[in-house]
Amino acid sequence: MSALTHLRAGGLSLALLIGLSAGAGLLCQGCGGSSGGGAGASSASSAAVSSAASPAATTSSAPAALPTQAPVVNAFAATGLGGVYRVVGVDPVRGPYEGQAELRWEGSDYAFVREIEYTSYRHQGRPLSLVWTGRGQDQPGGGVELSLSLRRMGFAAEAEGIPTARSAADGQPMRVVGRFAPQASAGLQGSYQGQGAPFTDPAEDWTYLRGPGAGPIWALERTLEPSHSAPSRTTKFLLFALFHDFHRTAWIAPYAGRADFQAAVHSFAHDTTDFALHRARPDLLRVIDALTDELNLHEAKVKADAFGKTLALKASEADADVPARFLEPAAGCLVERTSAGGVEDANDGNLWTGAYCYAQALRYATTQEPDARDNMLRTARALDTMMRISGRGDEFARTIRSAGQRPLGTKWQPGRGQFAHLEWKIGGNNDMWKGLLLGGLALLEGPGQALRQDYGSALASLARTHDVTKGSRRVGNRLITWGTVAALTGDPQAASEYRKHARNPFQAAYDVALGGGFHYKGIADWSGTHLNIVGLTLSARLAEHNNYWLAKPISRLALQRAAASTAKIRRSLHMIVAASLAPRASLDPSDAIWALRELPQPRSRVAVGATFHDSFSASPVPSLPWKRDWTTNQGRARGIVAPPLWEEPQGAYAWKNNPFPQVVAGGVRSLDNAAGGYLLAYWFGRRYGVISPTE
Amino acid sequence: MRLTLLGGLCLALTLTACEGGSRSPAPQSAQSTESAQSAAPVERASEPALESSAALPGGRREATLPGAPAGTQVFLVRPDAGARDLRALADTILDVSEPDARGAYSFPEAPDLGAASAAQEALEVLVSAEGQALVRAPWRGPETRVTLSPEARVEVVVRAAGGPAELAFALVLDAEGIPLPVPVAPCVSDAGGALVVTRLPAGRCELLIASPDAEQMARLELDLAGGQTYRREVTLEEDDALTRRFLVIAGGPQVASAIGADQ
Repeated sequence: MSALTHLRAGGLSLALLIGLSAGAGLLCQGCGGSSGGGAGASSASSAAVSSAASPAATTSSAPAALPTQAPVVNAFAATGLGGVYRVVGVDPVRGPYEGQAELRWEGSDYAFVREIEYTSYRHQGRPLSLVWTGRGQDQPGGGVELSLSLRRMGFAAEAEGIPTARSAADGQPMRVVGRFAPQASAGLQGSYQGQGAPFTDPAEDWTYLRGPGAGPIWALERTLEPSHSAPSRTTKFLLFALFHDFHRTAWIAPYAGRADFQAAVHSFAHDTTDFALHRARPDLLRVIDALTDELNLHEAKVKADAFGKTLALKASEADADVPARFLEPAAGCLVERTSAGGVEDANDGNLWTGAYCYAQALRYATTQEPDARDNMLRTARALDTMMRISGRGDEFARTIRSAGQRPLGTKWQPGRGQFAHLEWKIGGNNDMWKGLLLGGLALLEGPGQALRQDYGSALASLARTHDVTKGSRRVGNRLITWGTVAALTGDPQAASEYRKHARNPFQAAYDVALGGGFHYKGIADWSGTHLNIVGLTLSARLAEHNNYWLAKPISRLALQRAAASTAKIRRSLHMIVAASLAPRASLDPSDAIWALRELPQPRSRVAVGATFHDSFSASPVPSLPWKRDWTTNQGRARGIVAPPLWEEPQGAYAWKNNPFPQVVAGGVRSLDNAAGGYLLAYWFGRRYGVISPTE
Repeated sequence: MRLTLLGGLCLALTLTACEGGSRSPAPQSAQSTESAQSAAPVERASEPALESSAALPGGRREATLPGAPAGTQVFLVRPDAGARDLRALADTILDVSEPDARGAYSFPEAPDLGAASAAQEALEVLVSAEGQALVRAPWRGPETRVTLSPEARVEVVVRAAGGPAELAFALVLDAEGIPLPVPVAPCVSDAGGALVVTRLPAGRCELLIASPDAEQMARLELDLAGGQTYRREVTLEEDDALTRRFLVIAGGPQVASAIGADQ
């Protein structure tokens, strides 16, 4: 815990998160307003440092006495080299650039920041800016030597279409040295020397502009937020005993001795760096403290695609993209796309289709846009088909597809009769049931009144026999199922069933206690938490649609506690739904909205390379430990720090992922998915005013 | 105590604040702070008793609870000794009926037992009425006999390190550690940290009070007298043992397995 506490308070987060070596590349966190100069041009004695760093020597004389074009040597005599400089340089590969550099005296050396943009170079048509940070030392005889540590890689190990692939060696940063000497009339002049490609040894001139301001000209804004308290000694003993053989696996053992592993506190990285810049210049690519190569440029593009676009623009692009690429032409359900553009069925197609269908209903309720109506109706019909296509009351489709495209195998069945042009996948289950219910809710709140009765009848028919409502521990499913049927059909028996389950005092207690999902010391049922919030959403909306006074307060309290309980593990959909349906002064949706800012559009499919950094540590608890396969399934091994959302592959759906990177990372995901998760959260927030249309 | 206390006036019993289990030493504010205000007896009307009625057409059996307060709910319950967590207990509730103006309520002759099996003769009714202690009785149709008795109430102000603890939830357990089906909404603290547990039967009970993420906990152990109101202040603090217990009782076997509490 002490290490993490230190992380939050100090400036080590960058080093630990993205692999900079200690002592290099760190920004001053406590410089205050001092613009202290260093030693004089000819001396680096401690007496000179002390004198120059005093307030009297820093704030009173430098800016007034030093006009921009003042003879630089004289300026150095008064303040040392501290100040902000205009930078003009040439990169042997990418050509000319301009920008600013800053040296801030910090008692024994300078904090160095340099921010430049290439004048004419473009990457895939987009302008490129670099930020470097480091330390500077006065040199005998004048001038300064800069010490930089540039990452060879960031968060990606691979990305589609880019030949570069990272290895463990790329986790070690490249040391770069810059040597700058004073010029009689033009400030400082010098160049940087790295250790070979892809570093390109640029040379540049610095012209003094002013003394340092209150803060540095650029700062990394990245912090770690613990997601839970440190385990007590007893709890740690229990967990470490339980997972003892997990810790001895070949893929976890290398981390077991680390302090952060032993501390057993999981954290989430919160990174707002350059957000305003990207919003102001959405096309700009920004590479921070890293070498400039194809993969690092791709990372910059992913971040720019997250921060640079407004939430409305991202929604607009995703809303256009889904029907164009991700709705199965004949079946109307959500599918996945291969890299070559081929269609693949989504194994959880029912659930994602339901989520998208409801997102479009919310969109239509907000905007009345005809294509939202069309998308909603098309997917609602697909869900209706998934209920009917088996022809049996105890089976519904996991997803559907056009007939005759691929072999049926063991999991696909041919449709019959009116569904002969389709095939359906067996295995409709509790998770997929939520897709059907979301489709019903979409019909209640969107267009498609003519479909309601039939949809509700099909749902009721399944509900009477299928295990998703008949099995044990299914009271919650019965509640939201009969509530949906009752609201769709007006059937009094369904209404009676709904009210019966809504009054179940134990179910109410469960919903309030743990209805949003549990989280304990890094352990959670991550995709289960998405099902949890779907269930609570349905409960809350169905209480309104059925106008049942008794269910309304319970569903609101359940949502509020769910949002509060999962805020630290960034279950952002929980918070947006709660802020929409059960607003409360103490519930702040700003981080959930921020999470939408973190999601890139188009979606990212990089392979995560976090483990290559020295700063990476594994979690001492396996993912989904109740599977009891942590000694054989390497996928259960996860990191202990969750990155911002643009640094992780988006997978099938934004709100179901385990946020911690895999220790044994796979390659680039071969399939692309619709941005249904983004759209559901966005249109929920828009529908209820939690998200501004201008956001 | 499994809500089988039938009839009789509840005796005022000694109130005991809980001790902190494994926590030691607990700061003064870490546990319940007994209010200086003594419990005030609640005036009760004479106890209503259930009367018999004939079976209804349509395969339902009717019983009556004369004088039942408005909003009274009678649940048909399938007893299950193995049900000790909220979701398992939710499965034991088969049906609910609200007495009409005459106090009449009814259940099907052959209620749907869901996935479970149980003898019809073993079914019980659970009566939840405003101002009354929860009570169970064997379901005998018209011959069912239930005696209501005045509720005990516990009013709690929940604090955390930063002030009032909002959205804390009190999970109420009987003497055997099994959740009691008290009304849930009042068990969640408001912006001032206030929550109230109602419809408590006389006898021992336990409150596990959890912050929304259950990282901060408090515990009260009480010995209640019917018709009494108790007031307490608690301060939430980290207590892993209580957290684990809360999660297991609320979440059941899956959560127990997930956090290693079943080992």
